Amino acid sequence: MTAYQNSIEINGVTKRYDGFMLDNISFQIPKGCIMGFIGQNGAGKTTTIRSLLHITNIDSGEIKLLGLDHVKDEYEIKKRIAVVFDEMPFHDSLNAKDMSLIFEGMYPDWDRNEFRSYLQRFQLPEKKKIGKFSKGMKMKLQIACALSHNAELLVMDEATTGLDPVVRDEILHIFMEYLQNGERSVLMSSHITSDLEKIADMVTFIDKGRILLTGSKDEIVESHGILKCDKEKLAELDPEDVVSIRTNNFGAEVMVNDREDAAFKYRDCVIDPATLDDIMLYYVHRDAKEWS
Amino acid sequence: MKLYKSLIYREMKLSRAYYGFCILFFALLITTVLVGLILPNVDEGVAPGEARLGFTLVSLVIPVLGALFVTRDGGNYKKDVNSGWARAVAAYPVTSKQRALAELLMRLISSLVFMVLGSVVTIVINANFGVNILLPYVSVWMLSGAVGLLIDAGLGVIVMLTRDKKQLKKYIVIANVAMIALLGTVAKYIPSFDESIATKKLLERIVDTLYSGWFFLICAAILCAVSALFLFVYARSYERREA
Repeated sequence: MTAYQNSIEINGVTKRYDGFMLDNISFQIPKGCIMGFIGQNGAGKTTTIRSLLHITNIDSGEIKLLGLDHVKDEYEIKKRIAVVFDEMPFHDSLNAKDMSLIFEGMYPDWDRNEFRSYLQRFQLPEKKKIGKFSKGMKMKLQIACALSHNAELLVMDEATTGLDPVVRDEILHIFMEYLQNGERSVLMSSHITSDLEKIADMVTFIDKGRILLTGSKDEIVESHGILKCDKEKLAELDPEDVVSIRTNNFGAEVMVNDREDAAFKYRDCVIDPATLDDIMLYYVHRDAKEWS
Repeated sequence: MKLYKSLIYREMKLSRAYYGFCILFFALLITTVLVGLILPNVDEGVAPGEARLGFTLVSLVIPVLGALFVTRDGGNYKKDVNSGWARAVAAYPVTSKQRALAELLMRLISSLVFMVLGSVVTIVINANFGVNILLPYVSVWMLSGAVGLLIDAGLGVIVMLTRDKKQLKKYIVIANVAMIALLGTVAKYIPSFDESIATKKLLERIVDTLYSGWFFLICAAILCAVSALFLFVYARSYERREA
């Protein structure tokens, strides 16, 4: 087995579609980390995930998973990773027991007992048809399948979207347990940033096919801030410090990209901490610069 | 081996309704053929030569229709597309060749099972009239099974050539028209059968051919060749990645 430092390494990947392009994207996920992959709908999250799973071919660039080439070593990689899709891909007429039998042949490390224990924990019936499961139950079944073959990397594409907060919280808790041995990693694409604020170590933000931010979640959140000022003060702000400006009747809220520096420069202004949601919102409007 | 067992298990599980239909159809077909053959001949008796000719031609409708149904796709392709499995399986550790081989094995295994079940007809005919039709039964079963696989391989090629549902419908209509035109052309060359001695001799020659060892070998070779073609087409079709 190859020793590797980064579970995922994406370098200069470009993929052109009619009307959309993944533009020279690069980011890494170190082993043992959980990375939140955020961006609005249509930003390129799913295309990136499909590219790294080799479901779609890339035009240029390099992708490595678990230190292996994503095309040349595709089947070796796929034995060691798990994928959870936004929609359940198992047929309605099958049941959880059938899925265990099917995956048992596919994954050399499939652990039937582990799978059963997840079913019990999630209170999923073994013999009930999947078609009769609720959306939450279906997602839990997908997760039980993903976690039962000792995968070193878990890739999740909008897996918590559409689930109620209780189920989402339960699932996030399970991911924390899964990561405990320090050898496993998670790439979790979502536009529900509150989930990622809770569990992600790192964040990558994609918009219109380009990576705008990637790195430690805490550093990203701590470095950004929302500066509140009146409209006259806006003229004094250095454009280099500003991501975008949200104007309202009373003044403006400005996203600054270096909160500490801005606190020195603009001492008469209040700078509030930013959330991932705020960062996403202000970066999406970075081209317009001013919005309301 | 474990992988193929899993993939075949999945295919079988999804095909239960289709195979249920095949069992009913098959039971009805066997009953009809047996009743049609036995009832008129049991009391009156039949000359050995005529028994061989008549029983062989009539009873072979079982392998012709049976194998053709059993070797076809029972709707799993559509089910896999609709459930999202066709897309998701690209993220699992299974190659397109392994999937295609599992698909072929499932069809050959189910075909073998139905062939053995249907061979009850050969036993009944042999027991009642002393005509052993096992050899032509197996030969024709293989030939008809090959036709079933060939039709699905053709559909596989159509699916590979299409980019959307609208185009797929168009190609299927074109394929159906071409098939009807081909059958129509072939039908022109089939001689009309009557009560004449020439016709009887022709039928005897056909039946002799069906009973020959070389016909059996040709059918087996055709089945092998079509299986290889099926494997190639399906592996290519499963290999398709998103553009």
